[in-house]
Amino acid sequence: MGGEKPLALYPGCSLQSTGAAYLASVHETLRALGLRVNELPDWNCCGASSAHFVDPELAVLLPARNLAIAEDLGADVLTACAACHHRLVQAEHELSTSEAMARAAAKQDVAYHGGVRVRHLLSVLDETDLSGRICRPLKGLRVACYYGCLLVRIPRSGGIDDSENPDIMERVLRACGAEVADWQGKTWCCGASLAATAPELAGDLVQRILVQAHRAGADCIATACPLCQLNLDLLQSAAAERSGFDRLLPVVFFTQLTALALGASPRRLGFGKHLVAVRPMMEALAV
Amino acid sequence: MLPREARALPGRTDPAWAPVIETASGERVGLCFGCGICTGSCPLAPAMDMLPSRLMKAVQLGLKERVLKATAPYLCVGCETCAVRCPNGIDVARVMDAVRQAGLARGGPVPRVDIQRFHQWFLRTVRLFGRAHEGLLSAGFSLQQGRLREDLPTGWALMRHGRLALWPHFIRRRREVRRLFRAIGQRGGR
Repeated sequence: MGGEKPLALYPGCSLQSTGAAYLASVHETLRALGLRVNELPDWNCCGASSAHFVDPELAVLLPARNLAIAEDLGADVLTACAACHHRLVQAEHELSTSEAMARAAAKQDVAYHGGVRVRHLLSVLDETDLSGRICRPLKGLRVACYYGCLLVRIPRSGGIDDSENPDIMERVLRACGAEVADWQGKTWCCGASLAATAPELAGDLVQRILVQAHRAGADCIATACPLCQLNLDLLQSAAAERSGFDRLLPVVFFTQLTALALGASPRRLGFGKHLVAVRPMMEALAV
Repeated sequence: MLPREARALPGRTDPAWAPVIETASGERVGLCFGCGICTGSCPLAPAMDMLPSRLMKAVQLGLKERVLKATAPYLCVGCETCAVRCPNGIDVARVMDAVRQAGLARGGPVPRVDIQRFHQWFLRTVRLFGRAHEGLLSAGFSLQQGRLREDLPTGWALMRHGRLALWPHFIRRRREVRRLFRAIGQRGGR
């Protein structure tokens, strides 16, 4: 797992609500691998895109409190949500490079002195040898790995993989026996919160992504972001109507696929929470 | 790349404004040579009233009033495509942030008040509970926008699929989070 420090899981707010299937499958994946990871105690919201919408300081101070808790525990932070990962990495970078920001945190009794690593679950799985642990290979499942924006585009600090053509999710899912689609849409933006404020714009962006996934002959789309998943799931039927798709593409969390491959019971992975039915995909997998 | 207003309205520029935005964003706006890669990369450029590269030029020139009126910084979702592609290493999304924050801090009419309200509702739930609560955020925003009726089917679909937690998750030391909001004062909204 790299490093001797224990990892503390930072789930983030969406994983307790719209992204509950993500959290369930993160836990199942970790459990199947025998990785014992506790939740970061008393964590707070990272501020997502709303904190930096109004204020640069709030955007750093909210995640900073979580970094301080991890530092106090002597732990590194394990993230799953792409937005949380982005905010925590960005805050860590700003606190360790800007004296003014470090002072602002200290002034609010946020005692962070540096040294906490923020690691995304995809990176951890990529470094874990999965061979020999796959008891349900995802044979014949063609997955379009969708990264969206925030995991791979963290200016200055760097994302979890190449910002133009990342491959880390493909590596992990290939190790699980899946086939991965070569497609163009993997780092395109889904519109994020514009789904609530400018649904017609988000609808167009979602449609653009779906068109590419269909073109690549994908059976499903795998994501690592609760908001990407929600937008692609929720806005899909309208997009399908406009584009005349003959079928809908299930939008799953990559952890639902890893947990399945590692032998977790599908009943524990929150598949019933999907708006686009996952059943055709599961039948193809004979699960 | 010059916004038309720059030519038409001499004397309307505020050359002292560019450094203000540079300091606030931490980005060297002056390095922008207008190649347009940010605009070409921006997923929302087609919907923007001032394209990202034009906005950069307008900040350089100090077209403050024109820039503060633009909806572009409100439509920017911070996808950072511009930032990772800029040949001069400018994080254009952060310039968008700084421009929007400057406008919000000054007060007065907001170019996209609906988008501002959405983020205010988000932050309101964080201040209350320590964590964001998607249910209250969507209900509050929808009510304030007067579109509860249009939004109900979506809410119901999410609820039926067990995707909206009704009860918020309170953190124990909420006081620490409220303190962070107090530190930024009115800028965090009400």
